Amino acid sequence: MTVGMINANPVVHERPERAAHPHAANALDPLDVFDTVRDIKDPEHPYSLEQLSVLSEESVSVDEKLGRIQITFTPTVQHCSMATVIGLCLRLKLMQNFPPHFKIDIKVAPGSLANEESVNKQLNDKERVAAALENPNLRQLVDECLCSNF
Amino acid sequence: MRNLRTTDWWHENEVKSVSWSSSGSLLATCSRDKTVWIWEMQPGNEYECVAVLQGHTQDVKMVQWHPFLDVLVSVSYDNSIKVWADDEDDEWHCVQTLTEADNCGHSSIVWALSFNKKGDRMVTCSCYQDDCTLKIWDTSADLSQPKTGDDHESWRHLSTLTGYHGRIIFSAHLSSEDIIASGAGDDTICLFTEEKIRMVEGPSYRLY
Repeated sequence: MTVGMINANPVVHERPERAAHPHAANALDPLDVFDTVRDIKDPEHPYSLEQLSVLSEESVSVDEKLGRIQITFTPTVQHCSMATVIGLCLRLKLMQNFPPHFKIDIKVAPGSLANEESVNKQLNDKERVAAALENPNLRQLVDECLCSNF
Repeated sequence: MRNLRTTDWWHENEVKSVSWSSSGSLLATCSRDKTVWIWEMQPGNEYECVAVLQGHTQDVKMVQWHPFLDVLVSVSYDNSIKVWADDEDDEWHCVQTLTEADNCGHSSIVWALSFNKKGDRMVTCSCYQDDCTLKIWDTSADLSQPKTGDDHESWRHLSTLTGYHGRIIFSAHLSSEDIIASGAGDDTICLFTEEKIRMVEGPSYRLY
């Protein structure tokens, strides 16, 4: 863990109003997925990923026919070493909340991170993800991010 | 039962794959610690580690022996395929590396490999972004023999099968009838066979 913060002065946005959104009872709406992940706490700051614009409604796309959920997230700085932690948080939260037949792709928004390919590769290798979540220090950090309430 | 951890040396991370050579006297193991180990059976059912092969720069996903030569292949998170053989002094070396740049190799994690019964074909599988591919290689060159002079026989890429799977192809296997079976994260299995008709341009493959 680095001693100094990666990004000491993130831009924080107001928590947006949450409108009720009508949709078919059985359909998987991207907003349902977004609601599940929007309040994950950033690993470094006491704000949610939504408040820091790491995630937005547009981050999520769902292909119900293929059973696929795609999330794209935008780290606050180009050289963010917390990107893999954020990705792990997203993966764990989705695994815990959606049935296993959904295939989940988690990617960094193109152009938003210096080591984008390397991070995407790790986040989509299920063995690497499993190994990371077995690391007690990393797991503790991820659990803290997932347990926060906003 | 024997636990290879009770010898003096063992892998430093999860052992991902194991493979017996055709003679049954050599065992290869590979790990997330980026290495490939070769163990040799000694008299009295003892095993001795005869080589720790370093060369991959990331996790090694699978190892497989050639069906009858003492030639070992490993595939890795580092996108490459490495071929290992020993020399007259019983030292194991990497005798060929198949990469994207030099050999039409894979552009992402290589998950598995399989030889056919004759040992002249090998299939490997990978997935780069949404492009999931199987590559077939001509492995007829005998890499267990030291190279003499400029006669540089090596394994070469024959064919790439793409567009059949929508997600990572985790496993591929060649049957004794030379049919390729592949299984992927899209919940499907595909079967392919080699078309021998148009051999002028090189063999091609079709869905079985």
